[in-house]
Amino acid sequence: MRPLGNQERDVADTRRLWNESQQATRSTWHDPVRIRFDEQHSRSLTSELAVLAADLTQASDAFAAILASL
Amino acid sequence: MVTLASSLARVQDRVERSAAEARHAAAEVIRRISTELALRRQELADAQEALRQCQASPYANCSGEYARVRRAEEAVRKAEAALRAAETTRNDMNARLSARTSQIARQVGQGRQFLDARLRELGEYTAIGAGGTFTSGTSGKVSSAGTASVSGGAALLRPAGLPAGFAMVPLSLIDNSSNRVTGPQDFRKGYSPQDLAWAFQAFRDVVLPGLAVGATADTFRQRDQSAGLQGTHSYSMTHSQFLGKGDAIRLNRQPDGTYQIANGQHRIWVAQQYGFTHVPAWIA
Repeated sequence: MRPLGNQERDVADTRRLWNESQQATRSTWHDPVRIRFDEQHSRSLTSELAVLAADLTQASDAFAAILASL
Repeated sequence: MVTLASSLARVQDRVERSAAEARHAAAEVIRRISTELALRRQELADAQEALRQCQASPYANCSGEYARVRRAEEAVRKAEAALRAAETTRNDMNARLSARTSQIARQVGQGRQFLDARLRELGEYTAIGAGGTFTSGTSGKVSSAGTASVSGGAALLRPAGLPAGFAMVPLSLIDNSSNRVTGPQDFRKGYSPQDLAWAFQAFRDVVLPGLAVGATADTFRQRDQSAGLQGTHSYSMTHSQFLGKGDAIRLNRQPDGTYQIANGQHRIWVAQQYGFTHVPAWIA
């Protein structure tokens, strides 16, 4: 059992939606602006979402191991 | 861009909801272990009571009761250890979630500020999404539309980011009577009318908006590399051919307010053929 499995999936889903929304907008606005947004904001946000997902996975694994040890 | 701003808000909302649900799930794990610990402590108390009753009987064999107490003690120890570990994991997770959600909220806020600023700039284009109309004014910029047709009045425009000395000049003010370029047969310099039309559109849709937000020649070179563009169909060449010394369209202002072509006859002919109404030019 993974106690935080739903939340891991939620964050993974959020990352997917974010990536899709980026892709969807890339063809509709000016490249220099998009490049600046990607470099300054989007990349940081994508990275933070990845760290959050990793944190949840780590916590979920730890909880599962604890419950299994009972 | 509006879609992206909306997505940013959704990302933050979903992250906060996921974090709240994760905290709730962790609390549920703690509750389950606490319940299990209470049950095991009760079992230990029952086992100890059974052992005491057994020991009260003379000559009784209490080895079974002893074993039950040992098993119950071990089970309690495991549950206590699990509870401590779960509480530590929960505290660590909550601290990480707080740090992450704060950081994400900060990133989302900065991203939205960036997009809001760009949207404000775009809002100054009266023709956003309406077919590519240049607008006049001190902060006039270029629309994001992708069509080649441009309309406008007979006034020089000076969009933000355009270098000093340059302006977007209406074709209607350019004296074309002495233009030696009269058709495709006059293009023998290694580029075609289609190449120049591509450049006009790239200038309007990418270079000029880029200049407005601080893009440089390096920016356009990097963009070319990432998009695999080169030669006449590249942003860097478009940038240099319209704004580079020696390559730019140059116009001489005449006393009657019209402009005589000093350089750029091919491009001015192409602009006319493809429906552009303004050209970027150095004004002498």
